[in-house]
Amino acid sequence: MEGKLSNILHNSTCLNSRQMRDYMNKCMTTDECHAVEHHLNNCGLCSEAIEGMSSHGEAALHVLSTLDNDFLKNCPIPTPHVQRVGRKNTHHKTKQNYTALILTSLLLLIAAFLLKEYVRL
Amino acid sequence: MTLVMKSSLKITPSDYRKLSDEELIRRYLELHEYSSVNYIFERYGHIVFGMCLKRSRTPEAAKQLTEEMFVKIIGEVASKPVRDFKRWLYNYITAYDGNPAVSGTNNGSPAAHHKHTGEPIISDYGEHALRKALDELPASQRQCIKLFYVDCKCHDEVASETGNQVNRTKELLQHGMLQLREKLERG
Repeated sequence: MEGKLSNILHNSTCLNSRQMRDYMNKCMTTDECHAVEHHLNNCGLCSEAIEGMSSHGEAALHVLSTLDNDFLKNCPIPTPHVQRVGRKNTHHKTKQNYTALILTSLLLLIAAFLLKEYVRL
Repeated sequence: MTLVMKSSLKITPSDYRKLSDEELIRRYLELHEYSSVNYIFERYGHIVFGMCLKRSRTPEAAKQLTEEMFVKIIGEVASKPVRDFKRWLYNYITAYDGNPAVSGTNNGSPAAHHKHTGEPIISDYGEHALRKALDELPASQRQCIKLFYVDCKCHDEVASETGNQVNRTKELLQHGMLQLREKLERG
């Protein structure tokens, strides 16, 4: 009992469409079925999806097989507004850093030159 | 610098499938990789469809709703940060009423979730704590959990052994698991 109990809270990834179809069609071994149901006990998304599938039966499975991402080609996928640290920003920052470094070096050289002149006087 | 270089390298479809939801979203947001959106759909499209079936009269209508909803989901993800995509998605779909402004208003924080979504709320607990929490559950839930997890019986078998209907068995298992997690989380 001990070893088995410790597996209770282990989570697995969500079902893919093939697993979902096989589960609905009861085309699974007992072990596979148990693994799927283990996931369903812990996943609201998958368990509700299975409930939805069950409520429409065969017709739902037929439409499921026609589901693909083709519609995304015709729909305008929004350009992200959330701008985090990207490649372009990093390049821009690197350029700024180099400029700052060159300017600081120039200032130091001028300061050293002026100091030398002052000491000589 | 190394991270930036790594993230900008071209990756294969099988690599994409290994990435976490959050990484796919990050690639879409930061690197403008629109192909990441396809992989998110590959991972969750059928699940969104299944959930849409619950609120649609026909599977065709559910398919249409899925596509409409998915575009809005990507729009939401693009406009505000989502920490825990799976949990956020569950809340978004259950609250969806066609108006994204009122749907999925939380960003997936654990406090905002109202039903288990498969993401671990708790991680590792000792056998003793687990058994104690299990003993505190109502007898009907405890019986189902023991039959399912210890005796490795399927939902149908648990239902026939307990004399419950399959749907009732699923409910008992899901609520039992939810309570178990909450008990362990409280300590």
